[in-house]
Amino acid sequence: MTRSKERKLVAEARNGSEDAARQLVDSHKDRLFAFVWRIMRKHDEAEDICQEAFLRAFDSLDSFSSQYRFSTWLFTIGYRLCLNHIRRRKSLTGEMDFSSLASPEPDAAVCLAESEDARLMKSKIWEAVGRLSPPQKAAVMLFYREGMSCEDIARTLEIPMATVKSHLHRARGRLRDSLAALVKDWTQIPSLRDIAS
Amino acid sequence: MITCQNARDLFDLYLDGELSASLQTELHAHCLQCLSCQNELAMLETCGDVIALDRGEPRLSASFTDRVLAARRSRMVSAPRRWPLVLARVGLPLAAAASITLAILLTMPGENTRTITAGQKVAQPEDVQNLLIGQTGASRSEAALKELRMTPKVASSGFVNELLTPLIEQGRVTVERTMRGTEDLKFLIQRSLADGNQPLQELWQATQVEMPVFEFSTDSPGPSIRWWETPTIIPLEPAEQDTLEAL
Repeated sequence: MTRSKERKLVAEARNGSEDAARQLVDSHKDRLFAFVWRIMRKHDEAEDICQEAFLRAFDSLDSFSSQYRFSTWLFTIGYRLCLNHIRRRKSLTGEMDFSSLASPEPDAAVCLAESEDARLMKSKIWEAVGRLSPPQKAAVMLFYREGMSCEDIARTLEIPMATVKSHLHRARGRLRDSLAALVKDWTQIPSLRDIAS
Repeated sequence: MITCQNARDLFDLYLDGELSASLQTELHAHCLQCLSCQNELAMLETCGDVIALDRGEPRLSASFTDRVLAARRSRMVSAPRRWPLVLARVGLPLAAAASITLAILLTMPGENTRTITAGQKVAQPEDVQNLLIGQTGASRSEAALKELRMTPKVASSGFVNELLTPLIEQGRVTVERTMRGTEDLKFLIQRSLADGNQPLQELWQATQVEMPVFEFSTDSPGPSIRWWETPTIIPLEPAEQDTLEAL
């Protein structure tokens, strides 16, 4: 969606247009859900958070600054809601439920058609990503999946840019520690990038 | 030639796309000769590619968009008026009434400065008395009206007509608006309670416990009804009155 069309839709949604709101939801819901689901790893919670994020965004459209992308704003709201849910979950159970982070839900294994080795490789990588802290996961997802710059990630997560870089650095270190033993020679997997795409 | 440690220090900048061209050349040159660094960089790049491109997440429910829009409609219907506007409507008249009352209380002579004895009626400008009987008489009890009529009168002056009468009228209008605003607020709270607004229910219950019931009544004792009785109006000398009216 072009920036001008997005601004137009936001303006119409602000005036109560349901059609504009529908277009905004349809064009952002999958990206937001992927981001939220990677942090929460629970389908129901992720869907509830996405719904609440859209509702809060619509409720406060008056305060939306058109100099930023609507998606940036949505990710900011979604990330805050994720942190709130995680804090609530932590306060209820006394500690984090890492079991939900370690292994993805069965319906998460919907991957592209590929070889068994490649599928296993990606599964291991996602498991390693799942073991990152929520801010590290958020930074990694926004950087790689959304293609955001460190500056945009800092604005989205509402943290300093140096902290974003630190999260990315630590995340890569943890991925390296988790995956180093998985494959002896990563350079001998030339097809992985092609398979991923 | 850079060392392995130097190369690893450059990985983040390289992967973030912030490494200068010359350092990129150095890094690539090092990786060509160092299988360990080459392997580590390939692993990190593969991770990035998988995160960027592999869509392993579950799908949203098909009805997600409809649910969001239905929830939005529901919110818009249940909150047709914004609370700040309601509070402004109620709060502003209330604040005006409080300001007037406070100003009168602050300018009232103290007990020890009054020159009348207990039980003695203070003379009241005739215009003020007529105004009070005529405009607020319907809401007063017979006893209050009788007491009002028995209050000694003094002749009105230009000062009363020009200043006090508008002030009383303004105060009456303010009190009426405040009462209407309070009724509106009460209605909205009751409707929200009926809609099952949990936070508001809790707030309302807390309010019921902690705050006394507040009623407006022109017959209740206190500054709101008695304020006009307290000032001592000293009749002007004929010469002074002529001068004042000429002004």
